[in-house]
Amino acid sequence: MSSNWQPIDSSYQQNNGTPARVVTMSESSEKADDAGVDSSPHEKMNFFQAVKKVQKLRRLERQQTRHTKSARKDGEHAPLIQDSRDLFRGTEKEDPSKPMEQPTTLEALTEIVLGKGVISWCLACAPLALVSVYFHWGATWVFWLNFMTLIPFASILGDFTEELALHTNETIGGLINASFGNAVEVVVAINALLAGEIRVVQGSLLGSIFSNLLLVLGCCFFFGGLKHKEQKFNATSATANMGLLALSSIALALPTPFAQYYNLHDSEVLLVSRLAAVFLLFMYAQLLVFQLHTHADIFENDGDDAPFTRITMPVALVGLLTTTLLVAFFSDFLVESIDGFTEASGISRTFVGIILLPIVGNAVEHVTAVTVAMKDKMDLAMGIALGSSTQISLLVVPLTVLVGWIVGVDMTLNFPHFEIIMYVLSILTVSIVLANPTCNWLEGSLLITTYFMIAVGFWFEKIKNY
Amino acid sequence: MSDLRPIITNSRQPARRLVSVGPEDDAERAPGERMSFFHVNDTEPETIGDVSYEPSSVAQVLRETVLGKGPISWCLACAPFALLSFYFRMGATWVFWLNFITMIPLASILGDFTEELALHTNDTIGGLINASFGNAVEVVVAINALLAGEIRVVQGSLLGSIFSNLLLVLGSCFFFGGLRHQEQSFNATAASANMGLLALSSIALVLPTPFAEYYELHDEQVLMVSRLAAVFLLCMYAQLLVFQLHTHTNMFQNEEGEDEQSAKISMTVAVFGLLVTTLLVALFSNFLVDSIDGFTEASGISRTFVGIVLIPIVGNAVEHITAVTVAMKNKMDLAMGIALGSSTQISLLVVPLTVIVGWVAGVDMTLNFPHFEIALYILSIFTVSIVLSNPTCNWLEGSLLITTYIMLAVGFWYEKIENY
Repeated sequence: MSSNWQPIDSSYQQNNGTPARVVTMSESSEKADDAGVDSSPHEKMNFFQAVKKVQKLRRLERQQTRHTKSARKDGEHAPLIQDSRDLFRGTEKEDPSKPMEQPTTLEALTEIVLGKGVISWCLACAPLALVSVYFHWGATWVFWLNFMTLIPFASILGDFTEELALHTNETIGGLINASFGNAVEVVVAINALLAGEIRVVQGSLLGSIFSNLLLVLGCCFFFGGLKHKEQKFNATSATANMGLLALSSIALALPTPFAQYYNLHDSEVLLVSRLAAVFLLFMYAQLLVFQLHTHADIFENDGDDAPFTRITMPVALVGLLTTTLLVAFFSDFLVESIDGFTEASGISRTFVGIILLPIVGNAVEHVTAVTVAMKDKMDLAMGIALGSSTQISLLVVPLTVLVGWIVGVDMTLNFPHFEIIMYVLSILTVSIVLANPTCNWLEGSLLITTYFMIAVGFWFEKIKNY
Repeated sequence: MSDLRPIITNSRQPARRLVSVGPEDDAERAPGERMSFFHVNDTEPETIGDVSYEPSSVAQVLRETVLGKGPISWCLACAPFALLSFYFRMGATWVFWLNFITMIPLASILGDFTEELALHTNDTIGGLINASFGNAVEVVVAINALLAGEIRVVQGSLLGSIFSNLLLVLGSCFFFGGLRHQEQSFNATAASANMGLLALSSIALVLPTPFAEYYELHDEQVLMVSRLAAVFLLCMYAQLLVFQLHTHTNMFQNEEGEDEQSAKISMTVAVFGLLVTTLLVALFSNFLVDSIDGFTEASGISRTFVGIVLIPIVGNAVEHITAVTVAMKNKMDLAMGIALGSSTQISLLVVPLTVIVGWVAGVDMTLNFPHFEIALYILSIFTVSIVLSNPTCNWLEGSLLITTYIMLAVGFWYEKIENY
């Protein structure tokens, strides 16, 4: 076996019998590549695996920085990992034999909330956001300040979700990750729904899918391609995701032609939407059963016998609930300010919903995916991007329809045709790009350009009487 | 990976060598006797020592370029008649067809001069020159029509060029190649890269269209969206050039070790020839475009059909023959490089270029196409990408694509657009 190949995790051998291989095409390993490039597929990476992998990598990075700090302090400990590249070489097991300090709860909480560099600075907007609402600074200020405040919350929410999931077994943990993975999008959407802003809800959901599918994926390919000439990924999981997205596109398209081509009462359009939503949720439940129960043994067994959790389960639970409440709180202000914001700035409601709002939920995920892609972990990056869009289309969209049903808001899946056409064309473009299991910067740029052109289209979109 | 062909081509070079005139191995021919242009030379193209390509005098080379192409060169005989028909007002139909036939060989000559010029420069600039002038005839015709205010013809000719390359040329390659060779394989990477770019262009073409229909927008906003989309497409094209000519050049290098073909004429002569030919093309296409009005009235053929089906033949005929000949020689990657690369070029370069030229010249050229054409465009891309998803091809797939084209043409024959 060429020394170029490292098993990601020795536990793969237990499960599959063959070690998973990550073939890097980075320029530094070109010589060895000529000897041992294998065309065997990468490991399948579904969304939950991807999220777990990212969490694990982050944990290891944190351990490393903690160790480096402590090593610097007392000079006695050698760092657990020599340099961050080792994270991706084969020393990825958390080694319980090495001494590892358990941070105090306060330390851990500080790390979660404030330890994220630039993103944590956005939290400084929080008090300003409150002030702007209560002192009536004007819709534009309220909008942007609440907007900036919500961005770090997505990341903090993710951390608490991870900590909570670590305290449970694989299945429940996967379930928790699955449910709270897009918690910010859900909260924003439900807030907008309860405020009766149907157009914003539809826009934010569709926009989240566009953003994940085109912008995030495109940036992964682009920035990854700038670093590595060509990167491979697993075509099977890519097409599986695209298949699910195609299903969701049919569901989104379903009620739309009704309202256009036939003279149906809104009540029938509503009924079709609600039925479609039920089917989609059912599909999502089956997806969960598939990944967490019937075919769970295909997944990696992390070997995390003693997962390194930083905070106890009650703390994680409280943190999760608190953050969710805060997200709900600030997104409430955000949604209320949309009316005044669209009037004051002249930006269309559609643009706000489709382009601006998804940034809130996606910004951090975006940065993570791009970073991971630049580290030549394209399967992981794609798992995050594609998996997130699948989740939104199969879970969040039908969820809003059903919540609307319960609450009595007439939320339908009746989208403007322009948006449906763009949606279908985007899925078509992405599936063409993904048909070939290698990627380069040009394909990334192609996807990003598609997103920008769609954004230009939505900038000018003015829907009357909607 | 070794068979990746550039999306934009230096492909005329090897293509020309393959289609070169030369004595067949087992035939006895008098030395210097020319073979028919359409003869398929099965000998391996790289060993071209027996081809009468000695670069002797400039005059000889020029004569070969202009007159040495068999039936295609005969079309040049129409040139004086075309001029006559215009100045003696022989009627729009005569003017149209005579200019039409005159322009076909001019496209080929233009291609030769472009290739000669590109040989005088390095790979990168050469690639750039090939990329820019590869579809010079389409550009000239489109801009002529644009300046004459024939927006529908412009849109039609551009869309029609893409259809023609994507369906007719590609289909013919698969079909005739498949008749000769049971199954041919090609490189999937280049194919999917091309299809990805075409899908992007389809989004750009679709973008302004629903606007004008679904929302009450002023034409200015449709124009603005079209122009912005055009800028994006041109940026994408520039990135494509950077990708092929700079960052990923070694992906597209010819692995067969084709030796550098030396230029047969000096750079000055090449530039001069290029300019002269371009001017001639501009002149004759001017007559062509002027005669469209009368031609559509006299013949009853719709303007759309003229734009979408007839005019692209002018720019594509010679390329078509080249690609099919090359495909029959089992060089499917090369043939596809010609066909797909040409359509990508038109959609990413020529279409936005006409919009920008219209912007500069004050003509309201938008990307607002009739929905029928957009729907067919998207479906064609979809069909071709399905066919190309499997990296082998056969005659049936070729026939499939050709049939698609013919069905589209039938549709466009009956299309009557009011008030366009």
